[in-house]
Amino acid sequence: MRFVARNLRVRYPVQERWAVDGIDLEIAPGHVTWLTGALGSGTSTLLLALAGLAPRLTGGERSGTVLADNVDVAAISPLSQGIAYLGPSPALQISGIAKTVHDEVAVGPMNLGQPRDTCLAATRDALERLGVGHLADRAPNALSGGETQRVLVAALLATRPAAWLLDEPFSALDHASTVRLQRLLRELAAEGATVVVACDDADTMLDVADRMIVMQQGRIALDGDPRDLLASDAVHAAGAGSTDAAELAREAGMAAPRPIRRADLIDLATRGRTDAG
Amino acid sequence: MSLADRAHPFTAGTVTLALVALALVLPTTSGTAALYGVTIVIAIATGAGVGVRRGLLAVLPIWILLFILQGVLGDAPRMTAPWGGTLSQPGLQWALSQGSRLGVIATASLAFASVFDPHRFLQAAIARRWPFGAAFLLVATLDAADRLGAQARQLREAQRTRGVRVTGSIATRARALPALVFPLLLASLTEADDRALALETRGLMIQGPRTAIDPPQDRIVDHVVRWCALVCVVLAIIWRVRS
Amino acid sequence: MPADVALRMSGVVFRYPSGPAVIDGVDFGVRPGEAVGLFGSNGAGKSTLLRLAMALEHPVAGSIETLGLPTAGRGPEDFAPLAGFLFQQPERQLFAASVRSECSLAPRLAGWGEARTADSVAEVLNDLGLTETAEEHPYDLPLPRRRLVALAAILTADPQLILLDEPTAALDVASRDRVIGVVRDRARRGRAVLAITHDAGFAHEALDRGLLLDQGRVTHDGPVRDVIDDRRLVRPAALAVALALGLPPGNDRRAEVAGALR
Repeated sequence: MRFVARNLRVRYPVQERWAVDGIDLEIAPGHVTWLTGALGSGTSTLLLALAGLAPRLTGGERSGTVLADNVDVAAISPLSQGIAYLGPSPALQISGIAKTVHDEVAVGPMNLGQPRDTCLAATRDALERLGVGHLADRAPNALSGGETQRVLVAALLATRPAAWLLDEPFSALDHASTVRLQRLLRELAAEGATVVVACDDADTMLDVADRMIVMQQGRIALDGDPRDLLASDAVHAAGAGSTDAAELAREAGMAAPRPIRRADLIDLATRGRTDAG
Repeated sequence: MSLADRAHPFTAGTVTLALVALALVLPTTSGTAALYGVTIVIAIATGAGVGVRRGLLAVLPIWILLFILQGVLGDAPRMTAPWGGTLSQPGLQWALSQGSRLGVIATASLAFASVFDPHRFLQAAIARRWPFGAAFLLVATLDAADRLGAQARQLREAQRTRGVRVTGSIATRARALPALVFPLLLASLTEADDRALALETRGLMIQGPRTAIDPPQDRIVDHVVRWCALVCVVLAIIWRVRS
Repeated sequence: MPADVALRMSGVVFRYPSGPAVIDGVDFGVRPGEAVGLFGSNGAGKSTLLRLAMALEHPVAGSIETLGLPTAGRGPEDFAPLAGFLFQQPERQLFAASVRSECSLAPRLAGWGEARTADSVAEVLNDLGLTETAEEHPYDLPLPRRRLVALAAILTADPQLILLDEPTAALDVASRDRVIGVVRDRARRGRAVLAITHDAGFAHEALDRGLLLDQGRVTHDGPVRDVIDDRRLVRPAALAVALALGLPPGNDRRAEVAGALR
């Protein structure tokens, strides 16, 4: 699924300023696109707009266009178009109509009217891929934050979407689950899906993202290779954060391009070489 | 698994509605009293026995009131009571018949509520191609009530950790109530807003046919029971009209 | 308020009715000025332990003394505001109409005067970068700011014991740095902090000591950098470089390491 946004502006009902303020963007399938930016830069709003949820369900207005495979995203329900959206508060997206986690994961295919066998097979696969099979008989509202987040990803996966729009999907995950999700995102992109992730943590997305977009005040400030951008001064200038190692290097006064991985920074440090700023 | 769990969700509902309809329609005292007995037996036999106790607790105050107002203070002809006083005969009869009616309604409703499984009901509705919106509304309302309860508890705890006193005298508790109600209302309204968007992302607003993942079995027994219930109601209506 | 211990748990056992023991014999103490991390896998009982400390739950065996008072027979309102508690999902537990009034609640309930309350609120809002949002409704703020408001609301009454459940979860990097700053500052001022976290960066920068909860027991109690390693949590860059350069504990945080790298 290819997303094309032209002259996109989105505004919420109570606010005067545009949350997304003039964006021209094309997102191709088969890659992981990483959105980041300071709080209020518009990443969440952009994801909602790509899903066709803003302003249709958030209120407010939109000018410009957002097309998914040449169809206006706001015309139909995201799931019907094959768009999976995961919001920043996963607990809200638990349907409330399923007694068990298994049924919760099956809700998506059920709503799409897919044949029963397909639903069950897709549910089984999704539970396994997310490593939440052991939760299958639990009540969906009795899960921890991290478990809820993973179950929701499984629930979206069961609908076999062509596009993924994920807003801070790692926020409640521990290390092991983070690694698992990182792997899944790369697999999904390799399988041909369009994957867009808003994430504040550069270390998590470093080896997951093919493309990095930094937003600032509703516009795109940077768009390029994550590894190049993270080593440069540009990310900080745009109000976003780089990796832990690069930030430490910056605090130590090192000039760009800085090491973005711990191992490289340690290398530099132990060789006794530091470039004075 | 009890009979109520194994039966199709619509069966329990139909039987309950039939019992309530019969309670309202049956003309004689002995009829309604017998119906009350039948209701108790059905409730216990189908595994919904807890409804009997709850129904009893619900109607007991009214029974006492009825007994006093009608039985003790009612019209002639009067009969002697075991303790030496007199009781009104027609009054007693009236109290018995109205009390039985209320007993049936309370017991049947509470028994049904105790075995109602909203998720199974929704699956049954989907399988029958009922309008999804209506069935979902019912289930979503129950779910919303649960969420509200959980939210109230969380808010309460948070307030207590800031120092709000909620236990103790009635005055203290009364003072603590508005502090809970307004934020709770706001929290649930805000959440309702976010929920609408969230549910759309799960495909719950999609029009069109849905697949029942785990449709409850609708067996011959279920059909028979439902038809019998319907027939009983019709017969009772005929009997009532005749008498 | 006794000078020597802010929280003491002795032989604490806890189970939910008809459930297995979630906490199965826990002994530890937290002194004023200590910033302690509580680690362990999901479901290990960390949140329960924190709730026990705040008298939101009560143990079936053993004793808990919070700020010198046994929790038995008492509720959280008896320990507030000297003890402050941050829930794991604080954003749905705000109940005032503005950030300012949310933050003023605890001091007011503790009987503080207007001036003292206002000063404390101003200071805490400033520390957490919330000054501009003081008159806004908490629900109008984005999630990370809402979480900061919840933290601010428990700090304004200057609690001696600060109990935090995942204080940096769902926070953006800038907000996380502010939380780190605030926790270190409070510990330096002699307050006791017990924080559940799986955020290694936060733990390394803000905490000194780590407790590992496993199968309902404390299996490790030592310097936080040992626990970070033990849990195979991702090592913060500062720690990794500090270890490589041989910097001792106490000199291994970002500021010191950055200095060493110059």
